[in-house]
Amino acid sequence: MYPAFRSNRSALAFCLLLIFLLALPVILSWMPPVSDEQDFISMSNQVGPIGWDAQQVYEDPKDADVVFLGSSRIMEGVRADLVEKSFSARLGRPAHVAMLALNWPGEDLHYYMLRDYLQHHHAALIVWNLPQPGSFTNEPHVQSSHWIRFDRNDNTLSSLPVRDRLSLYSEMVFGAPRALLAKIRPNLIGDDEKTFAAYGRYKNEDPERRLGYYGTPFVQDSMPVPSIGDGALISVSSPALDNAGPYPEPYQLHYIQAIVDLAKQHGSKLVFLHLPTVEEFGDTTLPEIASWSQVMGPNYSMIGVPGDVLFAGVTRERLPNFFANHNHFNRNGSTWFTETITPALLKAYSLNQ
Amino acid sequence: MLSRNAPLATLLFTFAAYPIAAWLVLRFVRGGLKTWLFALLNVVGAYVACLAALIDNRTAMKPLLLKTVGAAFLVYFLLVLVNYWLLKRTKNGTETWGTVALWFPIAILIVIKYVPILDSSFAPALHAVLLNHVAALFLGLSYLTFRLCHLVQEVRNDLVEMPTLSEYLSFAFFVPTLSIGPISPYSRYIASYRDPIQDPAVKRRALLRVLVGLTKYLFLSSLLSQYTYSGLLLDGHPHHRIDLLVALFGYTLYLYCNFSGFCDMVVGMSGLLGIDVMENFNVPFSARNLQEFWNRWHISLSTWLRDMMFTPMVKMLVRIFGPKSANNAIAFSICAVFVVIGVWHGVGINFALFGLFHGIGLASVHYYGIFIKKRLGKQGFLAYRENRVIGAVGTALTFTYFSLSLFLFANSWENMHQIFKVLV
Repeated sequence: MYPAFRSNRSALAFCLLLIFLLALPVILSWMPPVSDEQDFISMSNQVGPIGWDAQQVYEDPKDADVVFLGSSRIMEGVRADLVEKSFSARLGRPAHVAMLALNWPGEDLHYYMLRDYLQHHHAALIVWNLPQPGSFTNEPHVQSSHWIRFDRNDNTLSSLPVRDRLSLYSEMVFGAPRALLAKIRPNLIGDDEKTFAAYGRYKNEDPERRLGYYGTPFVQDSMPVPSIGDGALISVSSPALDNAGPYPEPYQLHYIQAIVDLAKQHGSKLVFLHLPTVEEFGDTTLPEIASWSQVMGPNYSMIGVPGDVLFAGVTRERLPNFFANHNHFNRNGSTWFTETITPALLKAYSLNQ
Repeated sequence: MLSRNAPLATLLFTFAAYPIAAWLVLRFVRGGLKTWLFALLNVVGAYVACLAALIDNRTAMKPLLLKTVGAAFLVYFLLVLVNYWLLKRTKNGTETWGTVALWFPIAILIVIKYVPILDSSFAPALHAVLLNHVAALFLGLSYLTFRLCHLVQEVRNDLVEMPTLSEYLSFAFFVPTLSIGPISPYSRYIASYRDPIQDPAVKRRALLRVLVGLTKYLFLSSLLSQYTYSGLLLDGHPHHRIDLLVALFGYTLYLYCNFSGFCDMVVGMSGLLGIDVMENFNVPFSARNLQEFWNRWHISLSTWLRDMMFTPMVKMLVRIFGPKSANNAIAFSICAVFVVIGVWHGVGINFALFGLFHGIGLASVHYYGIFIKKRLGKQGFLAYRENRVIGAVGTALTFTYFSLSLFLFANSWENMHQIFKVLV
């Protein structure tokens, strides 16, 4: 059996290499910084429409009437184009709706996207899909290594437990090689990636994007919008919310609170959105992972409709026609769901004016 | 972060759960029961490893996956048993049985891995568990094939006694080497199984190998994965041309840390159990030329092909065309062997080209060696070999040539096309 190292010198070199790599995030923080946008666009397109989100956050000068914030569930669940049309009709002027959403759960990414967005824009209403049972993570976002940097954490991390800080530092270590490359040459994003067409490819707004339930053939379908009007807008203290757990861990709570504080700081109204799953068919309550009124106070609102009311117009057998998988709408579902919640969105917006 | 680039379930099972169970059996059980228990442990362990390798990304499909993997493993096990039966006939029967026993595992490999008809027949079942090829259900089939073929030759040539069924099964399904080798011969395995490594210095060395391997596999290769083609160039964005250079060398280093790291863990873990496993890497990037490189990189594979294909092929060609054709016979055999190495690695024309690229390179080194020896004479050639500058240039060229070949290895045609499209 060969030894692990052929000489003491090679063993020492190996140890020094490890120390260097573990310290690389700190070393990179001593070098001239790159912009937040540079880090953001280094994420792979597997995460979603990076170019479109970057264009909205860093280039588009328009302030937003509504910002949708969250994961692929809100990206697939809400048709921003329909919301924009409704708002424009109600306001009597062109409204602007932004969708800041990328794949996979992670309140940390939501926070950093919103932070960068609000540094350059004002948002009247922020609609955010909170983590829900079966759709959350207690870890940093899977692509957090691309944008979490040692020298750019807003001093927000000192309150986190040591385990979470170590977890974040390990993401910085993992992301350091790519960050080093960005110091040598800029990351690029194609102009075609910033277009609505590129965004639409990820979104059910594209009429060509027809996803059947778990890969089965797409079936064009529609169901009546529940006659609840703006009744979908409820207080977080409402008995309709069921504290189903599991309670968020410190890492999640940290960024949930950070987003709440950020919205308050910038004078934006924050409303939470409950996105339904197939399993909620017939449910009389909205399953949430925590009692949000206890977490952030009773003065917040949620847009959500229990399954027994929401899906009253369809049978259990037909329900999959509206979903791409158990917790993501397809084009049928997002169109219908957007029409269902639009009155509540308009009410939430008007209450802020 | 750690689980992002490593199948964690496979790692935990192969290097934590299995070794503990194996150590208990090897340490505290005696006689025939020990061999049977160890065989059972390896068979069950192989099944669990097959499942673990697939379940990481498919936890939502556990029940269906259990049934599919279970059925496939039963087929896997039965095929291995059939090979044992053929092996027994080899020992007790005619030369024909030996040939059948030698080619049977290769035929199974070709059918499962390379025949598209089999793939499409099973397509709906595979699609249901998110697999795109039936070969994914047979973990380590390529390595198992070569191990069993080599065993046939060792038995035919009386290099080893005919193994008992329990010895055969524990060797065939030996969990540490199941998924990616090394392709360690049975003679080595059984010698150390019967007389395990006890030397504490070797045990300490084995432990350090495991730790260093773990660092290379989990940490270094994870970092380097960001400089690979898929990690860097195929992220859907445009890239500077320099990124191609970064990926060219980044992928090479990533592959080395990933593959050699895992092999370090295998060799080390086996050593801790007292079982001697063949080395697979010997400082490959210090090689001065491709010939030396392939004596240092994936050593078990190149050794297997040298013994099982290259040497017999050269002998046959020289027999047919005469001794004067020896140099050309060697060059031709090198190309043929390396095309086989290419297609053994994967299905696709890019793998065959990868092999041919190395075949041409090695054949060139072979002819260059003949030329330079003739040109410089014996003393001059020795001085040439010892020249450090020439050595450094040779090492750099070899590393670059290997990195270029990996462009073919790492990318399908579509990926290659996509890479050149995104470069600005």
